[in-house]
Amino acid sequence: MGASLKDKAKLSKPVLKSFNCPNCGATLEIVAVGSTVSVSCNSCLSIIDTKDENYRLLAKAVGKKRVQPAIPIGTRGKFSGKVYEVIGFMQRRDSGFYWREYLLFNPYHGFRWLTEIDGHWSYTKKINDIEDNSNMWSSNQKFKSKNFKLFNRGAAIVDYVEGEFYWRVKVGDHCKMYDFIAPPYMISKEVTKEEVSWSQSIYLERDRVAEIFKIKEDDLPWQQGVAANQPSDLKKKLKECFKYFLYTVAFCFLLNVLFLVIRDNKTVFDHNYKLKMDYASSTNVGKYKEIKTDEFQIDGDDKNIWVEVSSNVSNSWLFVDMVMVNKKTGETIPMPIEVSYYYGSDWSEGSRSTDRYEFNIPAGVYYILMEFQKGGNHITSQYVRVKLKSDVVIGGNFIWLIVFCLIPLILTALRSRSFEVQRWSNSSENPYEEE
Amino acid sequence: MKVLYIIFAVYFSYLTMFGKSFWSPKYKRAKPKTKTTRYYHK
Repeated sequence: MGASLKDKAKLSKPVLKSFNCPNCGATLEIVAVGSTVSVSCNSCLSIIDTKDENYRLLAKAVGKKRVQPAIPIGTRGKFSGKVYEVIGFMQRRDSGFYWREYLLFNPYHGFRWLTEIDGHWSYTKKINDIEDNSNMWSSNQKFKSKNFKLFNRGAAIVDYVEGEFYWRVKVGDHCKMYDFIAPPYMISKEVTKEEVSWSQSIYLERDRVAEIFKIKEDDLPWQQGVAANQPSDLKKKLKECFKYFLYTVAFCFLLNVLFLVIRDNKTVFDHNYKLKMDYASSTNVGKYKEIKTDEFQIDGDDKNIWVEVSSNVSNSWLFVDMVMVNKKTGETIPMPIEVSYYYGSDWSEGSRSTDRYEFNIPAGVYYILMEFQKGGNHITSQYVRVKLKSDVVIGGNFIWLIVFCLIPLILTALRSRSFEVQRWSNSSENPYEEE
Repeated sequence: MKVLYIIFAVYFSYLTMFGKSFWSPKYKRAKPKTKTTRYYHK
């Protein structure tokens, strides 16, 4: 694909200056006449000084392995309505970490760069209106009222060169490099013995690059990991999620308060019983006698009831097999409940009271029948207290609501954090490194 | 995300208005338990 596109692009390219390679004799063409200072020979990859009258060799390539650019030299693409042509390509590295840079040229608008790291693309231009404000106390940089965080400091060594450039470049050239990020933007500072230069990049989606240069997306390198300046919508989503969380919880809290006022929340039965051993029955040896409570009234159909059973259990348990009986219809509502409480010098488990809810209770006169089972330590005087309230607000629902509302919030926060951890994993300034 | 929170709010409103509970423990008749299983499990 690369060769055919390259040929096609070259057909329409205006050849402005040509000369022969002093090393191999191949014919070379220069697009950015007047600006180009060095050009590589397409045949032998030697680099030639085009400002020199005799086209002297800047670097002679011996046994150099060719690197295939994903966007062939000569390919043209439109950025904001301006046509740029790829005239140079180089690969740079920093301790085993490689990235590729494409030099773009438009005779009226000058030079731009396209950078590719691990399949992530950025469109770059030089900037001059920046004040270097990084210092020993702060490693951040301000530009156009945006705060950029220092992402990487290292070196950039030229590993491979192809095409033409507006400065004398050769393999092995190196500079100090500082990258500052405020996604989708990144500003970079390159320091050589001669100069300090700044550039600003903006993240470009892979499909956008393919569209600009009219090449297949599959022919571009596959994306890996997260780029330094790759924008993330997860932070925005997290803020949104938190907003919805607050709205939902606030709404439900108010609704809960409203129903606390509206509902009867009426105590319909509350009685304390001393449990007596059942000596009369031969089958119930060691058991407490059954209890039948007094009658009580529940008003209003289909109301809920809250039942609480308390007992003075102590390293023991009491199971109360309760049945609420409608006096008129004989309908029974089973409400088994267990109270158990265990403790040691520094621990405890269970509670001396347990509650439960029953729903859709028809209005009427009721009484309760209770049978008991017990276990654990023997208690000489055991009591049981039964308390019933009708038409209550169930507070537990609000706790469950908070739990459920927290799940998407926590998941989004974790996803956002994981994205940032991945982003910073390639950084020399990784804030997550210590964790 | 918005839809999810609306569902949560609507379901909670339903539970509150109709006096229902999202979850309540179910107690079954206790099987005889020994001191060993209950007391010394910590």
